[in-house]
Amino acid sequence: MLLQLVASRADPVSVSDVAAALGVAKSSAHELLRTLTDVGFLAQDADTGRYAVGDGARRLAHGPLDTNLLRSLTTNLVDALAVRSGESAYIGVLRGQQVEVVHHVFRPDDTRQQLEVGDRHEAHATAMGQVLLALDPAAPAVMRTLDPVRLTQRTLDLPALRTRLVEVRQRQWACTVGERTADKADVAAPLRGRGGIVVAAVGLVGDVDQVVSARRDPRPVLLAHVQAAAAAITAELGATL
Amino acid sequence: MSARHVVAIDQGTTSTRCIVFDQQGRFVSVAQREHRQWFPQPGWVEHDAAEIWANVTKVVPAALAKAGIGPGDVAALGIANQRETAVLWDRRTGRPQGRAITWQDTRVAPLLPELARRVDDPTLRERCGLPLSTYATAPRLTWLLRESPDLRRRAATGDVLFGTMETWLVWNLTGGVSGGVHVTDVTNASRTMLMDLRTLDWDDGLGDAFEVPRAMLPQVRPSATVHGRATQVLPGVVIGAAIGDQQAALFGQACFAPGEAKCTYGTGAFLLLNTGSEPVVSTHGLASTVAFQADGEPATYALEGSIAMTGSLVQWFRDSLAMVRTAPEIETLARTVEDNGGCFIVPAFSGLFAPHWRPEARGGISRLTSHLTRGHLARAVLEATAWQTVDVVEAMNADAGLALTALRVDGGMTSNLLLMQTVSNLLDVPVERPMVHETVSLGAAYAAGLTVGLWPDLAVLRRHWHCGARWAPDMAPAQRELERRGWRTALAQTLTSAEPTPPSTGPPAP
Repeated sequence: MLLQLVASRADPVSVSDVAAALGVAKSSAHELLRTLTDVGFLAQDADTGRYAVGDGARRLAHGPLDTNLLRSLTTNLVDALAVRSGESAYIGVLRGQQVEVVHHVFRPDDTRQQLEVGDRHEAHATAMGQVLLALDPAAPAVMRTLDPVRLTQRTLDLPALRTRLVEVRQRQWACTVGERTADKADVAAPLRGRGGIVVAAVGLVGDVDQVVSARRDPRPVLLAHVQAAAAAITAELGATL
Repeated sequence: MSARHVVAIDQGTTSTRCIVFDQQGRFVSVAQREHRQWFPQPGWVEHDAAEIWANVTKVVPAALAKAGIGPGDVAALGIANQRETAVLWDRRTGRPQGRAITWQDTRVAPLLPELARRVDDPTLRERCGLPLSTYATAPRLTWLLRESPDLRRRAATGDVLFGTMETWLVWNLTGGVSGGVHVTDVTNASRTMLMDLRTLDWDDGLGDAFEVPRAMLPQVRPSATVHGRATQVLPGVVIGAAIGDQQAALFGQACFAPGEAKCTYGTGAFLLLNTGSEPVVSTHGLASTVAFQADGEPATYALEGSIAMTGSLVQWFRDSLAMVRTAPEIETLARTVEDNGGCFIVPAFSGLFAPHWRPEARGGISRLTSHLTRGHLARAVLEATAWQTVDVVEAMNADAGLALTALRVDGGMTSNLLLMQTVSNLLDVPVERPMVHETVSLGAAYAAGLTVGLWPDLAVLRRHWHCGARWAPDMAPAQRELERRGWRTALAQTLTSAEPTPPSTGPPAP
């Protein structure tokens, strides 16, 4: 209602305008305005202190994040992840129970590789998918109906997956070892748009012995590369999306 | 050796960037500043050379600070620059004489018919490799010195100096009024229309034709050589390379061998093909240019084709037609349909450039039907970039007498996967993009690092190149031919519908 009020006015509104129109105390109006400004739905003019509709609210009209725009904004940073880690790098988004590859950079070893953009994998069996099942706003609905298909001997069943997702939420990264393909391991971390909402995941995939230690933990240097890439891309997305 | 970084300055059309690379040729840090574009009259585009120099003095320390290194850690500095832009300055005060006239500036168009009578097109192409056009530097000097008798007098005595951007930067970096070195490199000199492609030195006949006194011209040097030692900004660091930005991109893409080519997709697109140790005189509307020269070695040459509208067509689709909110979203829109619905867009907004050189041509959208949607138009916009690439590649194949086997790409539009697949489909060769996007800066860094021995040879640099993505052709030959007929028909319509006026920005089609 507050958004409608601000949007209906030709000029920016003051705290008093809002308090009067809504019939609430000025302190309450101020708090509401601050909350909506913090998430970008309103913007406050630095000189007058008045409020107008912000970019965040306008973006609501544009629907979900465009994945081609996402790729274009992140190309340099995902390239850097592939170069530094020596592994294939990816960005993925949640599509129902699957994760869709929206960006892929080849492993820098000059072997012939196929572009995997557009491929979809079972979310529960990949690191990017587990990051999204743990943190994406659409995940709770997905989890209610998920019946995880067993792809390898290591694919998690539903109880084990739920336990794993709790860990992922705490750590803010995921690692799977042989859960989708027996000889592959992957590491991923979340990408956040404006307001801190998880919109995608970034990760790398490689041979099991390259990506994880004997104890099946991700090699610290690779995990650090993934986390650094996630932080850099999140900063980029926060500035533009 | 402790100095294991190479610093590249990319002095571009809209901004000046400094990028630090490590010994593996990996990106370490970047700093960037935009400079003002001056449009004093329609068709005039100027830069303030003093502002650009001031930006260099800011971006270099900023990039070093981000990398956490000092001048002592820098093995060499390489410069890549916007080409063909003319800077004049006073040798004694160091002050630019008026603003720099950029490569996009078309004010000299009215001079071209007169200049064409002095140097005929075949002689020009044979001697300097370029068609007479508003692109090259020499007509700008003709214009500037005709405007001001005072400038002409001081230019004749060498008190006013000429340079393209790299010349201006090297002069300032090496001390300016106190001992600045006045040099250019072969790649930049090959864009002026004043250099003989074979002797790699200024041609007195061309100098006379364009009324340019030799005293104002810098010394022509190899691209990779010790141009001097910086006394400003990076004190003590060797300036190991200066090279034009498109040639730098060719070098940064490791296209060292004849037959290797790259296309940089930006606002426009620039396709360069390495043709080896002999210049190829184009009979198909392309420019012949120097690709690279290392100290003490013969020059490597290239054929170059420039396409005026690629990214700028997408911008038009976004801004003037409001069909998409951001440029990357054109791919999303194009993927809502299976094909172009028979529609072709020929983006000859200000004439057609290479290989057609028909400045009078005007663009068109062909075969409009009620069946067409925004998605079909989005496809046609992307296909226009792909078809223009095909036209330039076919001209290159014909000129060079060899067939391109793969195309290396860079620039912002390479993140458009549908476009890259379409380029591969229509060219019928694989398209590859490198892991490091910053090919212009990387090329300057490679050349500078070679000069100081940070890298022993080209073979080592070739091993630095890694493929980030690759697209293989995936289109039936019959389908390709059908599409080709559609494009050719649309192209012919824009050429026949044009008013027959004399060329003003390029030579007549062969």
